[in-house]
Amino acid sequence: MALLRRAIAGQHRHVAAAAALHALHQAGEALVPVLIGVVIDRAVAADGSGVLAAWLGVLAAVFAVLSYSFRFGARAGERAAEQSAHELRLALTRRVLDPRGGPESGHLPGELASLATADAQQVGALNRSLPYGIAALTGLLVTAIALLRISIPLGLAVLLGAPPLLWLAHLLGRPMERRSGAERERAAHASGIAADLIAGLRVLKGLRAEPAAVTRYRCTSQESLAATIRAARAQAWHDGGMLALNGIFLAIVALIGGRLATSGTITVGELVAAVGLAQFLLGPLTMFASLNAELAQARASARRITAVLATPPAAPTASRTPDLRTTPGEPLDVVTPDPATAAAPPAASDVGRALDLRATPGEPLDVVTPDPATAAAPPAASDVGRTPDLRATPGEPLDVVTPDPATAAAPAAPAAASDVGRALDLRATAGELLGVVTPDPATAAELLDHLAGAGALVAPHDAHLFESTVLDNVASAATLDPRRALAAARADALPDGDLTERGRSLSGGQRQRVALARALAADPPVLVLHDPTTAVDAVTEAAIATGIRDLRRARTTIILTTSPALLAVADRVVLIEDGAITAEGTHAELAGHAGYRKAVLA
Amino acid sequence: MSLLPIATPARTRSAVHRLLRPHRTLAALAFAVLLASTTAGLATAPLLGRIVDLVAANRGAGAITVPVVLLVLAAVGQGVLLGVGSGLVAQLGERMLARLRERFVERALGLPLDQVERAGSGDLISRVSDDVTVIAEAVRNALPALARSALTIALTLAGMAVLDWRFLAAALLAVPIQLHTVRWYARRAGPLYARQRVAVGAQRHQLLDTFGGAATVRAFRLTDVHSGRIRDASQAAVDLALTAARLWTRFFGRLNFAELIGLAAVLTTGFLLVRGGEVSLGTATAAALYFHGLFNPINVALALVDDAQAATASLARLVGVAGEPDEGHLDTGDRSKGHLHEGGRDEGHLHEGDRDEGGLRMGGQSGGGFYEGRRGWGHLDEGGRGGGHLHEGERGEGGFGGGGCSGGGLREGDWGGGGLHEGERGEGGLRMGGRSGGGFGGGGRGEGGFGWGEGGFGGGDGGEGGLHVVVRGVHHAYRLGKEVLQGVDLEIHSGERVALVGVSGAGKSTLAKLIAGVHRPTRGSVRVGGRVVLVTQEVHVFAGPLADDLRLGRAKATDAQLGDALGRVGALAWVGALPEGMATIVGEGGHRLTAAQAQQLALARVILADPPIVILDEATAEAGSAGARLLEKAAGAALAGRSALIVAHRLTQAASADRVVVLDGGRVVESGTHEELVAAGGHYAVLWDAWSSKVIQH
Repeated sequence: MALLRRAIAGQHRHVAAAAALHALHQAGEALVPVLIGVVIDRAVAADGSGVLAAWLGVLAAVFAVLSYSFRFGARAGERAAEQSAHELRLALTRRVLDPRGGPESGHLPGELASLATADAQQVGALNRSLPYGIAALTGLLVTAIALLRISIPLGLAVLLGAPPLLWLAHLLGRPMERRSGAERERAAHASGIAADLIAGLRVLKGLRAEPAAVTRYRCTSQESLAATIRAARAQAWHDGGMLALNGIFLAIVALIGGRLATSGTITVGELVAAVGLAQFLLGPLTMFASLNAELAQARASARRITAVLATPPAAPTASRTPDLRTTPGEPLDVVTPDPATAAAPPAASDVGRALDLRATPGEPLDVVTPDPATAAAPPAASDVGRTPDLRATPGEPLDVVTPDPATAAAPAAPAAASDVGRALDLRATAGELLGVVTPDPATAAELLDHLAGAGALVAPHDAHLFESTVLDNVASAATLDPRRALAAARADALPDGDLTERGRSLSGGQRQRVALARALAADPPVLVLHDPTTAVDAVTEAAIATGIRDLRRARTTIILTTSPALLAVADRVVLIEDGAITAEGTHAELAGHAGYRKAVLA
Repeated sequence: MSLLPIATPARTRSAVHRLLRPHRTLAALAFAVLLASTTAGLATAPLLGRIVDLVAANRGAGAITVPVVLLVLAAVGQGVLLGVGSGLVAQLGERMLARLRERFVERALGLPLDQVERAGSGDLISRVSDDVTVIAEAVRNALPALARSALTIALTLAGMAVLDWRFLAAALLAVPIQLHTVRWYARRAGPLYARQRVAVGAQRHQLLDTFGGAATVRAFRLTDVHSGRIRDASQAAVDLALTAARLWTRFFGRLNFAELIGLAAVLTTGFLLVRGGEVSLGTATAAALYFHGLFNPINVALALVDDAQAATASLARLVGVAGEPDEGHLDTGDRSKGHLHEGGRDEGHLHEGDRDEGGLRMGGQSGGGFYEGRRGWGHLDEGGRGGGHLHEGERGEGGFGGGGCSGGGLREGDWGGGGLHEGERGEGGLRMGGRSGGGFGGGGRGEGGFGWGEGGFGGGDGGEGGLHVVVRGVHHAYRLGKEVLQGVDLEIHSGERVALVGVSGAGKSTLAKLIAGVHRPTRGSVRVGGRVVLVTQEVHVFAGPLADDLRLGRAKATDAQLGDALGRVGALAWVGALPEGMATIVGEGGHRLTAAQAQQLALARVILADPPIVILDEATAEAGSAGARLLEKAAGAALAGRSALIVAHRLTQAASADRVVVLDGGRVVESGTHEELVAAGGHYAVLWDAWSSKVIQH
C-alpha cells in the first residue's frame, strides 16, 4: 500500500529510533526474570551477600536501561505517529480544497473530517506500533537465546510450543473476534443515532416528535446493548481461554524444567528463569497478533484516504478552463477548449437542451470595461496559476486568457453538444446588471458551471459561512471595504458576534445577506449571484436590490433569480426556457410575457 | 463556558449509585466470580515454588507431577471463571451505560429549546457522542481490567503475606513511590488532557468548517487561509499529544523505579529469610515471582488513572444533563404513581400495552429506568381513555399499539395522556402533570406544555367557538429589556390560513415559536386548541431508513400512508427512484438528499402527523427559486384542511392566504385579506408594490 509505505518512510528516522529503543526495552524486560533466577540461584541458594549486592546492582542497571529506552522509544514512536497523521491531514486538506474540486461532492463534510482525523490517526498509529513489533522480534530472539543457553531441550520445547499455542488461541478467538467487531460496530451505532437525533433537535421539537424519537432511541440503544453484551461475552470467553491455555503452557514448561532440574541438567535458578521466560515470551508473540490486526485497520484507513486523494476533479468547468477574450465591440468568446468535454454527450439532466455558452465574432458576449478603476483592478488576492489572468486597460481589449499553455493551446473544438440546435448566446456588457430567469434547475446549474469556468466569481446559493465573526467572513475575500458591502447587502445591522454552528445563530435571511455581502466585497470584475435573497423579506430585498445595483455600477453582475425585486433593478433580463433565450428586455417590458409572468410572478 | 450543566462530583457519584442499584445482585455475583478466578490464578506462584522445593530436595521426577496437575487445574479454573466474571462485569457496565445514554437522550430531547439554542447543540452532540464513547471505552476496557488488576494486586499481596509477612512488608516499600507518582501524574494529566481534548475538538471543528464550505473556499480563493488554519489547529493538537507522551513516559519511568525498589527488597528479604532458615528457597522463589507478577497489574491499574479521569469528566457532563431534572422530577413522579393507583382498573390496558408494544418490553429489560417507565405508561393509559375530551383526531391516533421498536408507537397516546390530565386540572397543574409523564421522561416533559394547551381548549372549546389559536397581549424578550414582541393579539380560526408578513426582525419567527410552544411568552397568553407542528427552514434528515424518518410524524403509519404523504408533497417520484425506495438509508452516512427534498420530507411528516395546526416559518426558503415553487405546492398540500400560520417571505404566499397579518417592530400593524390590505395602502401595500406593482402597472 503506497500510502502506508510513504507514511512510514516519511518518519523512518523516528521509527528506526523507536524500534531500537523498544528493542532495548524488551531485552531488559526479558532479562528481569533471568536475573531473578540468577539471584535465587547464586545469592539466595548459595548464601552470598556480596554476590547479592552485585546482582542487585546489575538488576538496577537493567532497570535503568529498560526504563529510559522505553521513555525515549515511546516518545519517538509517538512523534512518528502524530507527525504522519498531521501530514496526511494536510494532504487531504490540499486535495479537498484543490481548485479542481471533487472530493466533497461524494462525501459529507463529517466523513471527510473523520478521514482527516480518525483514519489519519489510524495510519499514523502504525508508526507507533511498528517499533513495538520490531522490538518484540528482538525480545523473542533474546528469550530464545537465553532459553537455549539454559537447556537446549527446554528451550526448544518453549520455542516450538509457544507459536502453536498462540495459533490455537487465534483460531479459537477468530470467529469471536469477527463477531465482536461487527457487534461493536452496531454498538457504536447507538451513539451515532443519538448524535443525529440531537442534531435534529429543533426539527423534532417542531414536529413534537420527541417521545417518538425517545422510544426509537431506546430501541436502538437496547439493540446495541444486546449486541455489545454478546460481543463482550465472546471477548470474555476468549480472554478466559487465553488465560487457561497460557497456564497450561506454563505447567508443561514447569513439568519439563522440573524434570530436567531433578536430573541435575539445569539448576533451580535456571528452572525459575525458564518459567519466567516462558511467560515473558507470550508478550512478544501476542504483540505480533495485535500488530497484524492494526496493520489491517491501517490498510483499510489508507485505502479510504487514498480513494479521496485520488478523486478525479468533479467540476468539469475547471478542467476546461475556457478562453475568455474580449475586445470592445468584439465578442467575448466562451468556448470550451477541451474537445473531450465539448464532445461529451449531454448529461442526463439536460437531455436535448445542452446549454452552450458561446459567442462567435459578430455575436458577442461582451465584457467591456470602460471604467479605468475597474479595468485596472488586480485579480483577487490569492489567484493561483490556474485562474485566468484578467488584464485590461481602458479602450483595449479585456483578455481573459489561461496562463496554462496546455489548455490555451488546445484546439477550440466546436461544441458538439450544442448540435442539438439551440446554442445560447448570453452577453453582458461591462457595468451591466443582467438578470437571468430560468425555471429549470439543471439549466441554471450548467450556466453557473460555464460562468465559473469562464473565470467569473460565482457565489453559490447555499453559501457556507465560516465560524468566525460576520465581519471576518465578509472581509476574508474582500478587496472593497467590507462595510460598504455589508451596507449594500443590508447586513450592516447584524450582531457582530461569533457565528456558531456554521452561522446557525443567524436566521436564514441574515445568513444570505452576509454571504451576499461577502460576494460583493470580493468585488470581482464579473460576479454571478444565484438566488441570493430567497430567505429575505420583500422590503429588505428591494433595498438589497438597490444596494447591489449601486455598488456594482462599474462591474458586470449576473443574477440568476426569479425575485421581482432583484429583476426590477436589472438593466436587462433574459428568460431562458428549454435551453434557449425566449425573452429579453427589462423587468417591466417582460411583464406581459406569459412565460415570464409564470416564472416570476406566479 | 458551557451553558449546559455539568454535575458535581457528589451528584455524579449518586447518579452512578442510582444506576448501579438495580443491578446489585449482578454486581455482587460478578465480583465473587472474579475473586474466585484471581484466587485460582494466585495458586500458580506457590505451586511453582513447591516444584522448586521438590527439585531442591531431590524428591525425584515423579514428585512434581502433583503440583503440575494442580497448575493445570488452576489455569483452567482461572480461565473459566475469568470468562464468566468478565462477561458479568461487561453486562453490568453496559447496562448501566445504556441506561445512562437513554436517560441522556430523553432529557436532552426534553430540554427547553431556548436553552439548547443558547448553549448550541454542538455541546449536546459532543456529550452524546464523544463523552459516551469515552465512558463506553472505560466500561469495556478499563472497568474489567481495573477490576481484575485490583483483585490480582490485593490477593497477591495477601498471598505474599501468607508466605511470610516480611515479604509483604518488603513489597510495600514500593507503595509510597507509586502513590506519589500517581498523585504527581494526576495533577498534571488532568489539565493537560483537558487542553488536548479542546485542541482535538478545535481541529475537528476547523476541518468540518473548511470541508463543509470547500466550494465557498474555492469560489473565494481562500485556500491558503483555510489550509493555514487547519495546519495550525492540527499542529496544536500534535504538540499537545507529544507533551502528553512526555508526561506519561515519565510516569512509567517512575513506576519502573518503584518496581526495582520492591523487587530488590523482596529478593533481599528472601535472601535473609532463607539464610536465617525461616523460609524455604521455594517460598523465596514464589515471593519473587509473585512480585514480578505484580508489575503488569500495577501498571495497568495505575495507567487507568488516565481513563478513569477522562471517564469521570465525561460522566459528569452526561449526568449534568441526564440527571438534570431530578429535583422536580422525583416528586412529580410520585404524583403520577398516584394516578396509577387511582386508575388501577386500567391495568388491563397496561398489559395490553405490554403485549403490543415492543418498546415497553424493552423498557422492562433495561431495568431500573423502566420503573419510571411503567409509571409513565399507566398515566398515559388513563389519558388515552379520557381522550374523548380531546380532539377526535388525537384520540384516533391515541393509545398504545404496536409499532415495536421500529415504530415506537406510543407517541400519540402520550400526547393524549398529558393533555387530558392537564385539562382537568387547569393550567398550572397541567404543566406539572405533563412532566409527571415520567417514564417518558424528558421527552414526555416537553410535551407537557402542549398537552396543557390542548386540554385547556378541550374544555373551553364551546366558549371560544372555532378558534384554534388565541394570542392575547403577548410580550416576549429574549434578553431583559429588549422586547421582540410588544403586546401582540392574534386569532386563528379553525381551518384558517394566516400569513405573517414583515421585515426581518419584526418578530415573525418569535411569534411562530411562541405559538408552537418553543418559548413561553414573557407576558400575555398563548392558547392553542390542538397539537401544533412547526416546520422551519432548518432541515434535518434523520439517519436511517427514509420510512423511519417519515414515521417520526406518525409512528404507526403504514407504507401506503407513507406513500400517500410522499405523493401529496410531490416526492413520490424521486423517492421511488432511490436505490431502495423508502427503505433507502438517508441522512448522515446514507443517501444524501437535497435541501428541497429534505424539506419535502418535513412536509410529508406534517401530513402524517396530521396536526390541526401547522406553522411554517419560511419553510420553503432554503431552496432556490425553482425549488421554492415546488415546495410551496408541497406546503399547500400539507396545510390542506388545517389551521395554519405561514411566515411568508414570498408575497405570493401571502396573497393566497385567507388573511394577512403584518408585523412591525413587534406589533401587529395590519390585518385583513390581501385585497383589503392592498386597497388600504398601508405597510402591506408598500411591500406588495415592491414585489409586484411595477410589473402589473407597466
